[in-house]
Amino acid sequence: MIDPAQLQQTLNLLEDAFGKDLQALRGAQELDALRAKYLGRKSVVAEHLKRLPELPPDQRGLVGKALNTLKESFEARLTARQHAFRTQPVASALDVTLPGSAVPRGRLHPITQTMEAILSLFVPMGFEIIEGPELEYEWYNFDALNIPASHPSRESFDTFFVDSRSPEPRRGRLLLRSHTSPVQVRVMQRRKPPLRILVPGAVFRPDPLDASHSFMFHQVEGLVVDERANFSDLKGTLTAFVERFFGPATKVRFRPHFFPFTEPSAEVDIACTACRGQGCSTCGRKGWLEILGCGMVHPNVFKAAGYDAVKVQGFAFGMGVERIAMLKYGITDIRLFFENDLRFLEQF
Amino acid sequence: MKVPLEWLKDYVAIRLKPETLADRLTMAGLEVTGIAMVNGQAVFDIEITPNRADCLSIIGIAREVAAMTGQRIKLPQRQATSDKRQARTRPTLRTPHSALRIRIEDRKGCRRYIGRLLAGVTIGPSPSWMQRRLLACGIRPINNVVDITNYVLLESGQPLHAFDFDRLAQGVILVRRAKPKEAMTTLDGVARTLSPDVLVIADAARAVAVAGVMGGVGSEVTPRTTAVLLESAWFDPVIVRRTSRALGLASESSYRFERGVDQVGVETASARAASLICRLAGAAEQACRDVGAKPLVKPAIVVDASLASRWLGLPLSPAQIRSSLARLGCRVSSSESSPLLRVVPPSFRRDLIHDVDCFEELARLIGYERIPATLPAAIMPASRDAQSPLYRNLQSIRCLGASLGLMETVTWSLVSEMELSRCGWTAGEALRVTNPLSQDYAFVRPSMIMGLLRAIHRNLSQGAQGVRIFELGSVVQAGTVAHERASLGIALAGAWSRDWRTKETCDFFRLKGLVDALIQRLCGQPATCRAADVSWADPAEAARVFLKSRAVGAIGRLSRQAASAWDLDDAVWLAELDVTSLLQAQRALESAVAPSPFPPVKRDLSLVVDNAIACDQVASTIREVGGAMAQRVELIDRYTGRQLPPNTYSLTFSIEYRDPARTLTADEADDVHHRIGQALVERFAAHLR
Repeated sequence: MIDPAQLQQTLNLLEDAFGKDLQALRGAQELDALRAKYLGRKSVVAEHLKRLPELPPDQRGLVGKALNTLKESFEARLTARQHAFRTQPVASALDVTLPGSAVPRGRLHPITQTMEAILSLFVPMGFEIIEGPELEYEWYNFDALNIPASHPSRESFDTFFVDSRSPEPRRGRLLLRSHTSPVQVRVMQRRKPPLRILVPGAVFRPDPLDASHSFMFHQVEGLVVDERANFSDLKGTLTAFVERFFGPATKVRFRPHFFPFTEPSAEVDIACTACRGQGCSTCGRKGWLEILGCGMVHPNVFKAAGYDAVKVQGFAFGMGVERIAMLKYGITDIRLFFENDLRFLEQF
Repeated sequence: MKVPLEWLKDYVAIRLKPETLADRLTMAGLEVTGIAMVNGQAVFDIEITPNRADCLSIIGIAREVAAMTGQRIKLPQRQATSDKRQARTRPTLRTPHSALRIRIEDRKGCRRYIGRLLAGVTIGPSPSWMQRRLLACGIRPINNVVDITNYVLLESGQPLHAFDFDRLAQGVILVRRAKPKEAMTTLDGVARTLSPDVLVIADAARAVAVAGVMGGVGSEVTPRTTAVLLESAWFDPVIVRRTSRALGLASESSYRFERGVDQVGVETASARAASLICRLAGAAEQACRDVGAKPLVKPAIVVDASLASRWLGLPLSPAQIRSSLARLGCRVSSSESSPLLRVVPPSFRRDLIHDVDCFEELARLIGYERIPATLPAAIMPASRDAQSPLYRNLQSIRCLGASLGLMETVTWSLVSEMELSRCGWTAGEALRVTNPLSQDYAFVRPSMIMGLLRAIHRNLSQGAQGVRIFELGSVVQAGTVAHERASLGIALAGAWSRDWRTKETCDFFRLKGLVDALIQRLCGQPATCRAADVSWADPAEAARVFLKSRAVGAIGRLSRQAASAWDLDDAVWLAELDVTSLLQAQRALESAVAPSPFPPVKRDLSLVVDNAIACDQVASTIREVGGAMAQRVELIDRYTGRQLPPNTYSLTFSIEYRDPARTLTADEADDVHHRIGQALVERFAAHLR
C-alpha cells in the first residue's frame, strides 16, 4: 500500500536528488543516463505509476496527478538543461590563429594559365581550340606555308630534324615543328570554311638557352577564314584581344613586317608595360613591346591546303605564350618556366 | 643595318626630325631599333626583314623615304671611267690587259659577273669623308680601293671585290665549284679546305675567293697593287648561305647575296665603284667584261582594285593604287575598260611577285594605322563545339591533377642519353634529334619520367620538404615509324602534407589513390594494378595499370640505381599513364540512378589468408558472391603481425547490404554475408575471425 504522506516525502526527496544530479551534469552526453534514472522504466516515478491500481479509487487521482506533475517537471527541466548545454559557450576558446590542417595545394603551370587566359578571350568570338602534332612533316611546317626550300629557316640550323623514317615521304622529313602554323593547313585540309580556330602548343627552335631564348616554347595560333575576313577585321580582333588581356587603355600599334605565309604581314606592339612608352630596358628604349605576329593568309597557303584561293580570304596570328606571361608578370628569365622550382610555381 | 642620316641626305631631302623619321620608317616596316650619335651625326640602326634585300643599302632606304614623303630620289651620276686623262700615272700592266678572260662554269651559282680592269691605281688612304661614313657604319677603313668597294656596297647593296690583277694567274677569272678538298686561305687568315658544294672564284691555277663570302690571301689588293680587277656579280643565295654556314664565315657580302641582289644593280654598282676608283685612286678603266645572262624582265602583276579593297577592308580606287605603286618605282598601266591594273615592279623589288604583295605595299604607304579596326562579320555556325574534345580533355586532366594537390610542371621535351639510360631506356628506343643543340637535349622524350625527375631533383636539392608534381604532354615512341602520344606523368617525393597535427609521407598507395581517382573520373571506370617489371622502377614496388585488360600505364618506386644516379636520397614515387589510351576508353555516363531510400544492413568481415593471396582476389570474391546486394565493399583494415600464423595476414572489410526496392532484413543480409564467408574459406582457405 502507498502511504500518501510517505509518498509525498519520497517525491520531495526524489525531486531534491534530481535537482542535485541535474546540477552535477557535465555534458549533454550524460543527459540520457539521468533521463533513464528518473524517467525510465525502472525509475521511482515509473514504479509508483505502475502501482497506482493498488490504491483505493478515491486516492488514485490525487497520487497519479502528483506523479505526473513531477514527471512533467523532470521532463521540462531535462529539456531546458539540454537546451542550455547546446547553446552554452565552449568553456575554453580555440586558438583560432593556429594554422588549419595542411591541404596539398596543386596549381596549373603559369604557361598553362597564360595559354588558357589567351584562349578564353578568343573563344567567345567564335573560335574553337584545336591541337596538332609536335612531330611534324617538313611539308606542313614549311612548304605548305609558302616557305620555299631556299628559305633560310629550312636549313637545319633553325629547325630540329629527327632521325626517323618519314611515314609519308612525299610530305618530307620529320621534324619538331618550329611554329604552330602547320596546324592551319591540317585543319583546312579536312574542313571547309568558314573557320575560326585557335591552336595552342609547344614549338621548337634550336636557339641556345639564355634569359630570353629557349629551344622549346609555346605558341597560340589563330586562323580566320571565310569569304571576306580582311585586314581591318584582323586589326579589330587583335585590338579587342589586347585591350581585354592587357587592359582597356593599352596603346596598340600594327607595324608592317614579313612572314612568308601572310601578306600583308604585321607585328603588333603594345606600349611598354614597364615604362608606359617612355623607353626603358624592358622595351630596349623603344617604348613599345612586340607581342605577336599576324597577317592576311597568303593565297599560296590556301592553295597548298586545297582551298580555292580566289574564293576565300582570311587572317592568321601567332603569339609566344612565355613572352606574354613574362610581360604580364614582369619575369625577366624564360628559363624559370622550365626549371619548375616550386617556389616559382606556387606564386601563380 | 647602320644608316648615317647625313649620308642618306645625299639621295633624298629630309626635313623631318630624326625621331620623326625613325617613327615613320618603323611604321613603314623598316624598324628603327636605335638612333646613335656618331661625331654629332645621327646614325639609325634599322632592322631589315628578309624579304627586303633592296633595303640593305643607303640608297634602298632613301628610296623608301622618297616613296613615303612623295619625293624623287637623286642617284649618283654616272661618270666616265675610261678617259685616260684621269689617270695620274701611266698604267703599267705586268699582265697585258688583253689577257683578261672571265668564264662562268657554274651558271646556276652565278647568273652575272662583271669584271672591270682598272690600271694605274695608286694605293693610299681613302678620303676622310669616306672613312667617316665607313666608320659610322662599323667598317674599318683599309685603303682607297678596298674602301671604295665597301662604300659602294653600303651605298648600293651590291657586294664588290677587288683583286690585284697582276696576282691572278694568266689574268683569268673562272667561276666554278671548288674541287674536292681544294685548299684556300681566306682573308681572315684561316686556311680552309673546301668541298664541291662551295662556289669559288679561281684564276688559271687556284681558287682565289669564296664566291660571295670572302676573298683569298694572295690575290688581294696590297700597297704595291697597280692594276685592280673589280668584281661585281650575282651569286645564288642558297649556295652562298650554305657556304657561309658550312665555313662558319659571314660577311657584309654574304649577308646581301643570301638575301638576293639586283641583277640590274650588278652593273650600276660596278660602274659607280669604277668611277670612284678612277677619281680617287688615279686609275683608268682598261677593260670591262659582262658575262652571264641578261637580267630577266619581270612579268607584270595584275592588281584588281576591288580585290585590294576587299583584302584590306579599305576602299581604294584604281587611281590611288596607281599613284601609290608608282611612288615605289613600279610601272603601272591600265585600260579604260578594265578595273585591272598591270604592275611591273622595278628590278630591285624581287619580293613583289603576287597581287597580295602589292596589297601590302599599298597598306604600308597608306599606313597600317589608317586602316580601320572592325570585327569579322560572318556568323560562325553555333553547332560546333567551342573547344575540341582533345583540348578540353587535356585541360580537364590538368585541372584534375591540380585539384588533387599536384603542381603542374612543364619540362623540356628533349632529354639526354644519360637520362634515358638512368630510366632504363636505350638510345635506340628514343627518337634522336639529328641536329641537337647539345648532348643534354639530344633525344625526344619517350616518357614523362625524365623531366619529372629533373624537377624532383631540383626541388629537393633546393630544400623542398615534399614534391608533388604532374605533367601532361607529348612523348614520342621511336620504332620503324616514330609515334607521338599524349602522356601523363606524376611524381611524388618526401612529405605529402606536414603540419602541427599530422605528418604524412608520400608512398605507393598515396600515388595509387591519385591514379585511381584520376582514371575513375576521366574514364568512368576503375583501374586495376598488377605487379610487373617497369624499366625505371624497383621490381618489388612496381605495377602496370590496367583498364579492363588494356595496359594504360605504370606505377612504382624509382629504382635504387636510378635514384642514386640522380643523387636522390628520398624515395621517389612515379606513375605514367598513356592519355591517348585513357581517352579512347572514355565512357560518358548514360543514366544516373536514384539512391535507395531503404536502410542498409552493415556487417564487417575479418579474415586471415596466406600472403600469396592478393587483396584484390578477396575483394572481387566478396563482390561476386555479394552480387547486387553488397552495394559497398570497403577494406577498412589490414594487419600483419606476430599474433597471426606465419606467412599470413588479416583483412577486414566493411560491407553495406542494401536492396534498392525494399527494406532488407537482418536475416537476409546475414545469409549473404555467410555465403561470402564460405566462398572465401573454400577458395582461399581463409580463416574467418
